[in-house]
Amino acid sequence: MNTPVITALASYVPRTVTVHRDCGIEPTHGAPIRSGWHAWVASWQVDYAPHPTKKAAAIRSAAVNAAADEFRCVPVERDTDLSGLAAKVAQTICAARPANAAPIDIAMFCHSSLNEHVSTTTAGRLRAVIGTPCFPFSVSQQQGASTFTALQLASDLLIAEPEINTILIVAAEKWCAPFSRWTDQGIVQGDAAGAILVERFGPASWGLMVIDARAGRLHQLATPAPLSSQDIRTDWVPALRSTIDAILLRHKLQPNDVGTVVGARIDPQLDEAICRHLSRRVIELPSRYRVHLGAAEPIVQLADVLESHDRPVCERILTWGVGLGGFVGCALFESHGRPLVYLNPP
Amino acid sequence: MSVSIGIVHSAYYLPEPVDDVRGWGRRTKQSAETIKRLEEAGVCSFYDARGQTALSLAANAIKSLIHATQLAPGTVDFLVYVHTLQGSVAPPPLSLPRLLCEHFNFEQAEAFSFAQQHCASSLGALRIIRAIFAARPSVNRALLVGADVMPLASDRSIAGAGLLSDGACAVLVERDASVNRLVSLAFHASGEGSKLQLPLAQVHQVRLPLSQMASYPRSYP
Repeated sequence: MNTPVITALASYVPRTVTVHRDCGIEPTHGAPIRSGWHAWVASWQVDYAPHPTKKAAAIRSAAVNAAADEFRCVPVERDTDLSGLAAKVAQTICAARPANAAPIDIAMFCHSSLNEHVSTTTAGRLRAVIGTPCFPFSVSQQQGASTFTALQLASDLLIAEPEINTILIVAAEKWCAPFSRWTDQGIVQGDAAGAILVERFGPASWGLMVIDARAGRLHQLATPAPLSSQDIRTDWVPALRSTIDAILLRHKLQPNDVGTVVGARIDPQLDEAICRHLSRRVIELPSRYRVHLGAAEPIVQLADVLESHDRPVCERILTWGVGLGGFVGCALFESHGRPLVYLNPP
Repeated sequence: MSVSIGIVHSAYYLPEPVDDVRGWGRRTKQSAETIKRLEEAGVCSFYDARGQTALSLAANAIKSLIHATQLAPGTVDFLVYVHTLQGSVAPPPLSLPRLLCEHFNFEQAEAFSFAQQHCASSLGALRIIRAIFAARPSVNRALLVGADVMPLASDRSIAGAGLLSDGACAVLVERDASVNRLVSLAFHASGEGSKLQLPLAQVHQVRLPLSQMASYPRSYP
């Protein structure tokens, strides 16, 4: 069979610290890292000025100024860099696999934040962590939607290449200077990592069967945007509804056929709108609103839900997320036993 | 599952001016030995974007491709953006591939970046594009776009063995193409270069019966 099944998940969310909105990013302890990023930030000014990174150092836009809270509690990683976070969750999954398990054929790394040093590649480090030959690459510039694209690509690869059996998807975010945790929309970007082990479904398989996964862009503007448009629009609701509806329709399902919905928890109104659309009660989730874990968010959310209680067999789980740069994503799973879940490995 | 795809057209954009390796060596205070090694490796000049971003370069390459092919924007199903340098992106959380889609009115196109295989990324992306075509019968046309800009003059050197140049390309891939069909791809990634500014993945065998690579920037990383 070509159907992908998620057999293991790992997630890591560091301790939260309080970040003030006037401070784009927390100060680095010790000597500043000579990362080379300042040269790129300067070069971006031509097409993207005024650059968000620069703007972040000052007071945010009106959206942020309207925010009631001066502070936000954000997961901040202090001990390792972006590739270190990715390696941590990948290592957790790899170490728990039996010695005779099928080798990992593909490693996908999802991210939107950039490595501390410009010359490093996290995909290369994942190859080293995995320890056997594989095809490592990154899926990026879709932020919180890139994990859905990775799931879709995993499904494509299992169909296209019969010799592929195991795919590791790793998502991580670690924000560092000169970048800002704050977006112009008043959303704070936290650090985190997540990993999903996807295997080809077989007679002895258990876990979450991936029925479908899709990522899409927000609707096109009526007229082509200027090349340098910085507009990150917030009209996620119609795009999300449309993506969710398309998946349900493709599989001849109704909203009531879905048991559990796992949202992005980025914005209460967005959560409410999607819950209403799927005809279910809005659950108050006061923590971490307007703090987003980027590419790692869907995996962290899904791992939390799976860990909270066992799912009935064949229950369908719908996960949705957003990419702050103008993307949405959605995945539909069916429970066939509980995948291995590792939360906050040491 | 087999699928027949091919590269029906490609275009590139190389920014001016063309700079020579000796002038670069003087400005960045390279040793005579480094310059000699580069020249012996066949490096004599490179393209300097001088302030243009990867977005501008990529847009110019796509414009050139559209001009040559009269490509209808609504027929592009996919845009896969590749780059060698981490900085050849839009400042996060912006998305360079999405900005390209919006600018060129690629209404239907899904868009994401494939990277971290450094110079082999454009070839690695072909594997993913082939899988997309194989698994999704509705996909008929994909655009593979690559761009790189190095704003740090002194960092252009690839360990003295080569020089990073600025440039961009756009490659149109279609289902059931009658020319330049993709026959096979094979890759090997050691991961050993993950902490160095060197190609991560060495392509050991690529069989593309086409002149595709000839249209890439010759000094393209």
